[in-house]
Amino acid sequence: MGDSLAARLLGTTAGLAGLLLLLAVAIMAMTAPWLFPADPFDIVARPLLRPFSQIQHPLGTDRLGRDLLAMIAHGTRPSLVTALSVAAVALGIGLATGALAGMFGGLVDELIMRLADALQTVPPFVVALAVVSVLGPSLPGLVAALSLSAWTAPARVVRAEVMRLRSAAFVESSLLLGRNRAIVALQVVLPNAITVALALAAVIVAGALLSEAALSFLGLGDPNRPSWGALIAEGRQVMRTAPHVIIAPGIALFLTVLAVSLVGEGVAKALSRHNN
Amino acid sequence: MALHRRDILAGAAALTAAAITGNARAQVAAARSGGILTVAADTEPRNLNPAMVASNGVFYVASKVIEPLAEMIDGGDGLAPRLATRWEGSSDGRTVTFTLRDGVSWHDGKPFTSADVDFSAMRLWKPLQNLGRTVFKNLEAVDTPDARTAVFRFSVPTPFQLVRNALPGLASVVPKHLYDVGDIATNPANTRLVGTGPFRFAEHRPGEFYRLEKNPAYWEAGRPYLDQIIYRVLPDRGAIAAALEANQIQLAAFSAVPLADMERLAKVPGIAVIPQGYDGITYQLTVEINHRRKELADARVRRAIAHAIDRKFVVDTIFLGYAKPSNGPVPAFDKQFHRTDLPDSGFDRRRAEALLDEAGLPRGGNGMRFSVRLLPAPWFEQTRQFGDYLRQALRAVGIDAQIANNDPAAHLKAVYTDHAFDLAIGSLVYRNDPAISTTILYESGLPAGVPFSNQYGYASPAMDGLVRRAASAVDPAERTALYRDMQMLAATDLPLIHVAEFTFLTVARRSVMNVANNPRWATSHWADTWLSA
Repeated sequence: MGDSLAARLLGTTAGLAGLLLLLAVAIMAMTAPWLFPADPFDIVARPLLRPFSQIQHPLGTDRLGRDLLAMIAHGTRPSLVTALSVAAVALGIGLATGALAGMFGGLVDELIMRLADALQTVPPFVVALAVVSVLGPSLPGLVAALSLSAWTAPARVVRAEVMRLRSAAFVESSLLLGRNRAIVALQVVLPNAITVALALAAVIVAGALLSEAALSFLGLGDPNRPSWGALIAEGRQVMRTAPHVIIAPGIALFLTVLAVSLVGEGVAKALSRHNN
Repeated sequence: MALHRRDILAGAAALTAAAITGNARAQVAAARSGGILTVAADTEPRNLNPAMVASNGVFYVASKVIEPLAEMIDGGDGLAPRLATRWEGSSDGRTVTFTLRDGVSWHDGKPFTSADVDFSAMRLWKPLQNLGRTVFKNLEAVDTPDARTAVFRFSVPTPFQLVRNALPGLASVVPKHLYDVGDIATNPANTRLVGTGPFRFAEHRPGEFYRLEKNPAYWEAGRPYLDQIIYRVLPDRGAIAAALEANQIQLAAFSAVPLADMERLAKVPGIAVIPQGYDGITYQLTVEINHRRKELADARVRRAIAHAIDRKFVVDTIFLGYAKPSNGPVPAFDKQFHRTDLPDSGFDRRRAEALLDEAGLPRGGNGMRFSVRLLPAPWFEQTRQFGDYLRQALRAVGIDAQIANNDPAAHLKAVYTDHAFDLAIGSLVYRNDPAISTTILYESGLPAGVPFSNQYGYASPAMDGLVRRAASAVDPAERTALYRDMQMLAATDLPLIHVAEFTFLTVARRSVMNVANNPRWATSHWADTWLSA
C-alpha cells in the first residue's frame, strides 16, 4: 500500500511540486552550517545593503549589517524541526487517543473527546502564547505549546475511522481470539486508520510553521537563534525604506508553507484515488 | 475675560524673556490664534499626575495642563519663571524662598496660592513622587507667610543648585482643594487633570485620544494660541508615519516614527524632522552590570567590556547618527557638571582580550571565556538592537552572551528586584542634576525593587563618600567639584558602562510653529505653539 501511495503522490502535480520544493528547503536547512559557517548574527557589511548589490551578500543585509541569506538559511532548520516535531507529537497523541476512543467508546471516549472539546474551545494561538510565556522559548517549550492544540484534529478523524473499522470482520476476529482491546486498537485497527491522518499532517506542519514564525514575530522566540518570524518583525520597522528585509524571510516562509500544503494536497488526492 | 494690568505686565515680561533667550525659532510677531493640533501619543499612562509620576510619558500630556514652578530654557541661567517668578536660596542651605505669580487661577476658577505649593511639596513631591522622594527627602515644612510666598525649610543643608535644577521636572503644582480629601493615589484628578496651565483637560477616551482645550483665563495674556490639542493614541510606529504623511496628525514627538523612516519623511513636502528640543531630557544608553557575578566584579573585566564596544558603530548604525558617544555619567549637554577629560574606553578588541586574559579568564575549548545572560530593556527599538550588537561584540572577545527578552514588567523585576541578570541594557534619563537621576545608580545600600537605581550590587566606600558629601554641599563650586570627582571615579571603576547619549526627533508638519524652542519642548507648556494657515 505504502509504495503505491508514494507513487500516486508523485503522480500528482501538486505532490511532485511540493516534494521538490520541500526537498530544496530541507537541503537549505542541512547545508546552512557548511555554506555559512560563521555566526549568522555577525555584522559583516554596511547596514541595509540592497539585494544583489554585493555578490558576497546576495540578499543584502539588515539594519545592523548582518547577512540576510545567512540568517534565513540558519533559520530554516529551527523552523522545520519545530514544525515536524509538532506534527510528530500531535499525530502520535492524536492517533493513540483517537484509536482508544473509537475502539472503547463509553467512558474512555467521553473522557478523551471532552478533553479535546475543552482544548478546541480556546484559540490554539492563545494557548501557544500562554505556554511559551511560561516555559520559555526553547524547542521543547515550543513543541509542547503548539502540540497541545494540534492533536485534537487527528484524534477526531482517527476516532471516526476506527469506529467504522471496529465492526469489520478482521477486527471482530482479532477480538474473538481473546486479544486485549487496547492492543487490537493500536496493532490492528490503527494501521488501517492511519492514512486518513496523513493528510492532516501537512495541515499541522503548515500551521506549526506559521505559528512558530508568529511567536518569534511577537518576540517570544529564542533571540539567540535566527528565526524567520523575528526577521520579519525587524523588517517591519524598515518596511518603507528597505523592504527587502521583510520580503526575503517572508518569501522563505511562504515557499515552505506552500511546499507543505502542496504535499498535503497531493497526499489527499493520492488517498482518494487509492480508496477508489 | 478680565485683563488685569499685572497680567499684561507678566505677559510682557515673558515676551522679553523669550527675546533675551534669542530663540531662533520664536516667531511671536506673526503668531496666529486658533486651530486644532493633533499629535501622536504612543502610550496612555494610567496616572497622569506629574506631581506624582515625573516621567516623560506623563509630562507629554500633563505639562500643558499642570505647570511647574519654573521651566527650562536655552541660555541665561537655564530657567524661566512659570508659577514662581523668583526663587532664592539662603546661604546655609536651609531655606529656599519662592515668590509666586499673581493673578493665577485653577481651571475650576479657584485662586492659586502658596497653600497649593505647600500641599504639593509636602504631600506629593516628597512622599509620593518617584524623583521627588530623593530631592525633597529633607524638606521639613513649607511656610506660607502670605498667599504669594512659599518658604521651603530643609532639616539638613540642601544645595540650592539642586533645588533649582529640580524645578522644571519635579515641581509641578496641583490644586490643594481637590487633593485635600481622600486618598491622593486614587484621586479622580489624577486622570482628569485640573491645573493652572494654558490648556484644560477636556476628555480621555481610552485607546482613542486625549483632548485638551484652550484655557481662556490663562495668566499669560493672549496665550495659548491653539484652540485644542488632541493626542491620538497610535501605538503602531508605521501607522504614525502614515498618519503624518496623510496630515491626519501634525506632529509626532519622542522619535515615534522609526529612525530608518526619518530620512524619507524629511523629504516629504510639508514635513520637517527636528532634532532639537530634547537636550533637557537626554537619555543614556548604558550597560548595567551585576557585580554579584564574580567575573563581572573585576574592574578589568568591566573595562574589557567597555573596550569591546564600538561606540561609533552604535551611534552611526543603531542611532543613524542621532546620538553621541558617551563614556561617563553626565551628558555633554549639562555644561554645569560634564567632565570632558574622562579616561577613554575606546573600541580596542586587543586591549579587551588582554584585560580578560589578565583577569584569569582564558578562552576555553569552544573559544569562549565565560557566558553571561544579557537582558536588553524593551523600552526602545535601539535598546533591543544594541542588545543584538552587544551579543556579537562580546562574542568577538570571547564572552558568550545569551540574550533573554522580557516584557517591561518582567524586565524591571528581573533587573531591579530579583537581580536575575548578568548584563542588562538600559536607557536611563539624565534629569538636569546628578543628585536627581545619577547618584542613585552608584550609591550602595538601596533596597531591592527601586527601579533605575543601583541594584547592581556595586558598593564602593569612596563612591558612597563622594555621593554623601555632595548631597549636603551647599556651595555650588564645591558641589560641582565633588560631582566632577564622582564622574572620574565612575569612569575608572566602571560600575556601569555608558555607551551613548541620545535625544529624540520630532517629526512635524511645517505648519506647526514654535516647535522645539526649549530644551524640554515636548514636555513643556506649548502655550506659544501655533498653526500657520
